[in-house]
Order: sequence, then structure tokens, then C-alpha cells
Amino acid sequence: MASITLLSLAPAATLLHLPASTSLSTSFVAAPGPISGRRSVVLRARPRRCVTVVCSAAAAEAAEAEPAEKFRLDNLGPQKGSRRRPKRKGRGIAAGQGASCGFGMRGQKSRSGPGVRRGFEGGQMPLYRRIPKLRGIAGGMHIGLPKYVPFNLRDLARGGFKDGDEISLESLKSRGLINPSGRERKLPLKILGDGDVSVKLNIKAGAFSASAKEKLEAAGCTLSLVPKRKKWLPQSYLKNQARAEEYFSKKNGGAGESDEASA
Amino acid sequence: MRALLRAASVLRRAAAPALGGGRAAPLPPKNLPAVCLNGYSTLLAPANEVLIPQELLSSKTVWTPDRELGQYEDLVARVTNFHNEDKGFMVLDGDVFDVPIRKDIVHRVVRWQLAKRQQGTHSTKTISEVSGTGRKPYNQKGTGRARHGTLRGPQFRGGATMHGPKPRSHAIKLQKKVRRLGLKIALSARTAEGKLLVFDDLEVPSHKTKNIVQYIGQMEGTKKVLLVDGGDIDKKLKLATQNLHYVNVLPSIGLNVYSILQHDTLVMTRNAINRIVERMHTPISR
Repeated sequence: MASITLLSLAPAATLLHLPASTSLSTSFVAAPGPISGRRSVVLRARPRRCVTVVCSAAAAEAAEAEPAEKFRLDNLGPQKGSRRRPKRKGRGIAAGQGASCGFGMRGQKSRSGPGVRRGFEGGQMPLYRRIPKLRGIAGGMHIGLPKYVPFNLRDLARGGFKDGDEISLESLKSRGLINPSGRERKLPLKILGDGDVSVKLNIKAGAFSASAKEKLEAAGCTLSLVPKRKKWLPQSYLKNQARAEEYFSKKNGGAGESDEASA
Repeated sequence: MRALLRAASVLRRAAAPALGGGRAAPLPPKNLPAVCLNGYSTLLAPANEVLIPQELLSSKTVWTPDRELGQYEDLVARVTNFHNEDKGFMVLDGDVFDVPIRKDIVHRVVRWQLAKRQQGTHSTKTISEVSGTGRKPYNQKGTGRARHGTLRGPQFRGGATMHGPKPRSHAIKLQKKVRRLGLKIALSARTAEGKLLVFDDLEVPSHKTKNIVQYIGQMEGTKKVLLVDGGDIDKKLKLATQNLHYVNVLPSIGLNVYSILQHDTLVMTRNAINRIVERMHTPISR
């Protein structure tokens, strides 16, 4: 039997209904509106296939023969082979994990409780003790401790200093410009070079940075280096040092006299 | 849309002999026109319009999709609204709406969503929290009974629970690419079933619920509908749907796999589809 094949039925969402009152040509021309999308329409060509015109009655009959399975929450599941049941240890000797659950009969690892501690290597010197420790901050914290209390020239403006004023640890503390606490109380003052200075000051500090010294001397300030605090030494050490100096000075003095005698 | 125009011309040629005179002879088989279908569109003639003689129609079953699924091809969808009026067409990106269907990916995303939303506020008491003294009940020796150090052990009445549930998070991890792929697969599944409707907008005349009831009632084969709008939800639409258990409204930012699977029909606006496609195309930062 001969048949004309035109279009096939797609899902109901995309059906175009022809109104009975409108003529065919008018509805077909008007039906395709502007095609909107984020990209230009590139509909890939596919091999030719036949299409069929369907009446509503046929569509109604076809709708009843819908596909059996749809995407719902009650028919989901993992991929076949991707899940495996866990081993049931101690539940019988059929699978081999019954009696001792894979731990064998004797030995330290067959005992209950945590086994050997982390890093233990059976008694030999473990790796973390065979290798020497790191130096520097990684080897302890003392190398990273600060040696000075820093103070920048930029902060001089906050102090309201005038010509002839004196800057030292005590004066900065009293004006509240620095607030050393803890171990910083024993550190000397160091002047840093950030900022500018425009007054003549008498500065007493434990150290000066190169740029700070340059700027301060250009402004006509007086720089005084405060000596470092003496290190405490035991009396016996001092006595021995004095005795050693006396001995070596005498020895050097004797050598001088012999030179004069020979001349 | 060349296919539609050619179909119209063929229909016109087929209708002319019937309208002109008496019974027309059927066309020879070798002259049957085969129209190339570049897109994805259909034509359904009402039953009362006898444009084509019955003997020219084939009687084969027609519920087979006219395209191969999962080819990442762009689709052309008909745009409509609540009144089922024609509002043109829209191109759906193939890499979002024509992804191969994989049930296991969707299963993983749904499990991830449900585990993530679990509250985890269950709690039991340990032996240090159970009310009661820790006194030794009786002497270690001399009584003939079994030795016990406390009456709050798990074997006693009023005792503690060992290894019981404690407040914790049940969230499981899932890669971002897998989550995105899950949403693409869910959208592709709804598109393949024909249950994705593209609307021009979700405008309702008033906040009355009967409008939505009437609109949903006119949709055939629909039990539960998910309406997705682009940005904020219109207040009238929110009021009209909040008393209906079978209609839910989401902004496009909240579209997720679990909600898509909970409803059999997905209705999206043009704006929503554009936002979803843009979100799916955003590179994943890692």
C-alpha cells in the first residue's frame, strides 16, 4: 500500500497545533517565530529519514503505549560491578576469615590493642633519629628571636619632638611611642630609616641602620651609641682572665727589653 | 524550519486533488517525498481535519524518538506558555540537554544531596554522661557474685550506650564535575522523555490558585510539575502555587537533580534555560 511519509511524532512538548480556522499556508509561515539562543543555530545535518503525518486519534492511541521505565527516584542504582560487600571477618571458616580473621595464630600483630607505635622500626635506630636535626628556625626557636626594639623615623612625628630633644629608650617609653613587654624589655633600641626627620635631636640608641644614620646626620642630629650591657661572667673566669693577661703582657714586655739590649 | 515549509507544500499538493474533484489516485511509491529532518520538530493534524485521505496514512507505531539520544546535538524546542500558545522556538544546547543517560551518576548525586541535607542531631549518652554514681556496687571479693565496678555499664538497666550515635555531619564528598554531570543527565532525561516544557514566562493573571489548577489540569499526562524561573519568583506565582502539593516553583539557581526527579514534568522559562546553560558552561575552579 502506498503512503506519504512527512513528519513523525515527537514528545508532546514540541507539538504544533494547527488551528482549524486558519489556512494551511498562513499557519505554516507564521508558526516558526524567531529562534533565540546563546549561539548561532548550527543544526547538524543527519542522514535522510522518513517522517509520518499523524492524526490526533493516532497520537492519542500512541500516547497510551508510553515507554515502561522513566527516570524516577525509585529506579536508581549504582553501576553494576562498582559496589562490593565488605568482608565479614570472624563469621565462619568458609571464606578464610573465620578463626583468626586473617591475623594468623601468634605474634605481636595478632594481639589486641594498638600495635607498634608510629615510626618504630623493630628496634633499629629509626629514620627520624638516624638523620641529624635541622639548624635554624626549623631546629629551634632561638635563632628567630629579635635582637633590638625597632623604631622608625616616620614615628617621630607622633612624638612632637623639638630641636635639642633627646631620644632614648626611656624617653620613647615615657611618651608612649614604644611599648616593649616581656623579653623585649631587655633589648636595646635600634633606629630604622623609614620616613623623614626635620628637627635636630640627640639620639642615644644601641644601633642605627645605614639609611637612618644618613638621614639623621643630614638633618644635623647627634648620634650616640649606647654600649651593650655587660655579660655576666663568674668570678673565677674573671680571675683567670686577669692572670692570663698579666702573664702575656709580661712575656711581651720581656721580649721588648731583650730587643733593646741586643740593639 | 525548512522541513516544516516543505511539509506544508507537500500537504498542499496532497490536499489539492481531494478538494478539487473526486477520488484521487495514490502517488506512485518511488515518487514519495523524503524530507530531511535537520531539527527536532513535529506536526500533528487534528482528527477532524481530513486533509489527507486515510488510505495514504501508514499504520505503524509512532512512539519512537525521531533522533538518536545522547549525541550532544543542539535541539530546537517549541516555546509556549500556560495557555499553550505558540511563542516561537528556542535552541537547547546539546552538551547540556542531550547528554548520554547514566543512571549511576544520577544515583550518586541524589545520595550526595540526601546525605548532605541530613541533620545529624541524634545523640546518646556515654558512661560519663549517664546520671548516677560511679561507686563500686559491692566488694570485689567475698560475695560470690560477678565483679562489677559501676552500675552504669551498658549491660545494666539505666546504663550507658556504647558506640551510640552522636551529633555529626552525614555529608559525603562528590566531585564538582560529577555533580554538574548529574544535573546535565537529569535535564537530558526529561528532554528525552518529552517532559521538558519551555515557557516564554510564568506570568499569572492574579494570585488565585484556581488559575494554576486550571493550567495544570489542561496539561495531559502530568501529575507533578516543577516550575523553574530565571531570577526571583513572582509573588503572585508564589501565592498561587504554595497551597498545591503537586506544583513547586524554583529559581534557576536552586535547580537540582533531586527536585527534577521528584516531579514528572519540568517547566522552564527562556531566562531559566539561559542561566542554566551559562552555569553549566562556567569553568570549574580547582
